[in-house]
Amino acid sequence: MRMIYSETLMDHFERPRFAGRFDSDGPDIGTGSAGSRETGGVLRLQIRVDEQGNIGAVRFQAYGPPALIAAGSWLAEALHSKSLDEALGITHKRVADALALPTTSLHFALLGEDAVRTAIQDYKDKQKVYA
Amino acid sequence: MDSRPVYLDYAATTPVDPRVLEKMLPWLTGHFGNPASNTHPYGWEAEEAVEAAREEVALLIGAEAREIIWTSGATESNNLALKGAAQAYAEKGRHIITVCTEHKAVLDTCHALQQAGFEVTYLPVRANGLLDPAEFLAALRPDTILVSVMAVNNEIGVIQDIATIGQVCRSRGVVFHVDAAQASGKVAIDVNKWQVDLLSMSAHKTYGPKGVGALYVRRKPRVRLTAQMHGGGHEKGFRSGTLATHQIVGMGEAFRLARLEMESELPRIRRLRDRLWVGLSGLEEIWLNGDLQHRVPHNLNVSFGHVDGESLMAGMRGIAVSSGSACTSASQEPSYVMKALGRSDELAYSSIRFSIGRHTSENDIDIAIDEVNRVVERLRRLSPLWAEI
Repeated sequence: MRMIYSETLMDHFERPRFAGRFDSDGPDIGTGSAGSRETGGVLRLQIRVDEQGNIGAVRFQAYGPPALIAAGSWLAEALHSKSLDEALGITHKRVADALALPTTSLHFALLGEDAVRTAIQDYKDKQKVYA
Repeated sequence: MDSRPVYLDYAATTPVDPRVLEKMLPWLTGHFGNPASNTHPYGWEAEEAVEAAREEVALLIGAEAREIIWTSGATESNNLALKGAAQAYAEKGRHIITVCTEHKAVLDTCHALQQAGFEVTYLPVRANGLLDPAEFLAALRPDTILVSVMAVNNEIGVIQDIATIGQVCRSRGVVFHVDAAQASGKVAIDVNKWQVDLLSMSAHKTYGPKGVGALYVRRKPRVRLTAQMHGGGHEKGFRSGTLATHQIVGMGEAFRLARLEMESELPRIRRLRDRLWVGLSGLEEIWLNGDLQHRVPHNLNVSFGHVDGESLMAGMRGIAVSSGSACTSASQEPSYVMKALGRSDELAYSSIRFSIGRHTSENDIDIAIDEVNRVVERLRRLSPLWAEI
């Protein structure tokens, strides 16, 4: 257990940024989920997109090991005030590098990338319906 | 001021009692003689100290001093007992019975014996961690030569019904070994009431030093044992190697204190354990692992539903405890003891062993209660699954 977590990872784990949830029905909300309880981790990520098309607010929830909780928190912070295209550019590699994830935890960075993509897709799908 | 977490891992190891250390120290410097040196007073006094300690270890378990053999610890005692008895009785039969929740020092030794051509039955346990006597009886065969059952489980603290198994083994003429590493000073041990033939002990779980242990070997009816460590023929040929006088003196004093203080210490520790359990019971979805009645007072083992085991351990920085995922540390496998109780992987991973000891205070327990409640609630609030329940 000792020494395998970076300081950044532990900081996000101990003091998660933007933890919580939005009402997923909102037309300006995109909700993404990745992982499963059975495979050891679930990440739920929500974005609120403002009138300029930028991510104005983010919320995340996570069930899983410190690496996944930290990935959710780091992404929530990183997504803040990004455009959707910029958000799509945040890859699992950036998450893994930022948190210095050990190779055994890379899986959780991938879950993070998946959650971002599905959240943005969910928002875009809603725009088609409301348009 | 000690900034380290509150120590609640006494089942892993205990500090040496200062009274024990005081007894040990002279045997490292001025009284450094080899107990085997029979030609001068340096040796004589060391031998006398070793024999006094042997007497103390014997007294705690109701044995005679000459039935005690010094070893390096319970792992060696288990190896000597199982390999030594299996080899000595191999012409009588090849079948050994043990339990799937035994310590690795027993299980891995049994695996090694399987490689050497012995057949081993690993009995399951019930959901409360206790052995089903009927299951044990059914496993006995005409060629069964050896049975090994631990007195107290290291993870969940449950006490097996050793006397019942001992009676059966004696009547069938089967050698009965008991791993008592977690039992000394925690339950009253009586090798005659229990009808035990071989009993493994460790000093460092009972406020003695690490690196020393003992094996009880019954004289009447005599149990045969094949030596595993060859050399100068120390310990009646059972275990060669120069005796570590200071370690042995430490074990003797630790076991003497255990014998004298058990009666007053155990109720105090039980009260602390019960206080801890009450303090945690306010949480939803928690599970006590192992029977609460047939259990040493020091141990509480709890699984926390809807909480990831690794996050739970990483979050609890104020207390030093063991977890169901860290017990087999290198691997990411959940504890095999938890799995034997029928716990899901998730509940096995999120199990925490709290073990209380001589220096635990009420304040320590209250710190643990606050810490666990805080971390479990925080992780559940953070979980997208908990919100959906």
